[in-house]
Amino acid sequence: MRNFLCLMAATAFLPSVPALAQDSAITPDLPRFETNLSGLAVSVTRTGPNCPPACIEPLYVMDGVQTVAELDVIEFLDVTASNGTGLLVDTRAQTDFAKATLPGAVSVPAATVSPENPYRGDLLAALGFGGQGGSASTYTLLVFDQNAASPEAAQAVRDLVQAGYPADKILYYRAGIDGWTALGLSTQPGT
Amino acid sequence: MIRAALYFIGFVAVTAALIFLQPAAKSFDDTPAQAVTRNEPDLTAIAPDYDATLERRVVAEMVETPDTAPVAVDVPDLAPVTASRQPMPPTADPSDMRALTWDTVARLNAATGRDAPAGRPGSLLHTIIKRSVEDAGQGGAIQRYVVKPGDSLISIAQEVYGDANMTGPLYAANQSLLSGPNDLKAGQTLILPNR
Repeated sequence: MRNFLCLMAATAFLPSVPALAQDSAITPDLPRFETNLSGLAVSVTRTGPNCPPACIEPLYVMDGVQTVAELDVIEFLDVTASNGTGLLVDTRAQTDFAKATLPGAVSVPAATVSPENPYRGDLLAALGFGGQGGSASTYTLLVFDQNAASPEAAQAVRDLVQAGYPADKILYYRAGIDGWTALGLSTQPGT
Repeated sequence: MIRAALYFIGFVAVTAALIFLQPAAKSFDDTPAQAVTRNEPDLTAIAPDYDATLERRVVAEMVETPDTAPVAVDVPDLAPVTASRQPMPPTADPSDMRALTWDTVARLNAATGRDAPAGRPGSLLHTIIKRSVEDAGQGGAIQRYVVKPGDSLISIAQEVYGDANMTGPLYAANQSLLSGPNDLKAGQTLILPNR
């Protein structure tokens, strides 16, 4: 009887074990990578959140959209954002934004620029896109999210470009807030 | 004398049986008219954030808690209920999406300092008015199409909407101009219905 109970308990815990160290795909097309280097088998696997949606994003998301790094973010704040022609955009959910974000960032959740949002036009108008001022009044956006495996920023970049937003007015900080804090750079709660 | 005694015994037996069984009492308890109830009004229309389940939980807890221990209605137990309602994840619900978008627009305008004066293009008021006018007037100006030689209703629907299924609505919108679906003349101006 006791053996049976132990077996039952073990079975109940069994499904939770693979969830802890979960194998996930690298990209939707690449579950794992294997090759042969001078007769030696080499493989790359990945553990972590499921892909999709949490796939490793490419360095360049869309044609014409530049990918930038930390020093470029600081320079963007110094020049483009401070002269009022650019916005540092946090595409994560507002709750994550409120906890910690890059200094000077403004929250534009990725869902709001998705084509499924019927109110997207209002948002794009607030970004100066499609207004009377033309391209000159369109803000340059530096878009980021949690890290290089979170889909929000890359999706927002794709949606914006597909909506006609000029690609040369979008910059993509791929490392995201995880890359920023990993280097010891400071964050602040979003307001 | 015996007959009187039998009547008396019979009376007592019937009375005792009635007192014990009380045949009418049960049906009285079951009568809905005895119970005072209240229809729960649908308050979601006037207060969308109203959480009926929260109220029910509070009531249930108060009922479950005996009067001797009123302290047991502890607030910390209720706190997670309210806390779990606060983070609103972006969903496909249109009203959530509208609130999220307008909140984002307000943040953007605050960040850019570009908030247009109330009522002017770019302001929230202007957006709301424009949207309601669009909804009511179905896009404002009526779109028109000038028929080219060789056009048919299907080819026009395909060209304008990219959808041959719009042939029907297109014909319906122009029935005053056309005697039949094939009665198209080059140079004729057709009204383009909204999808």
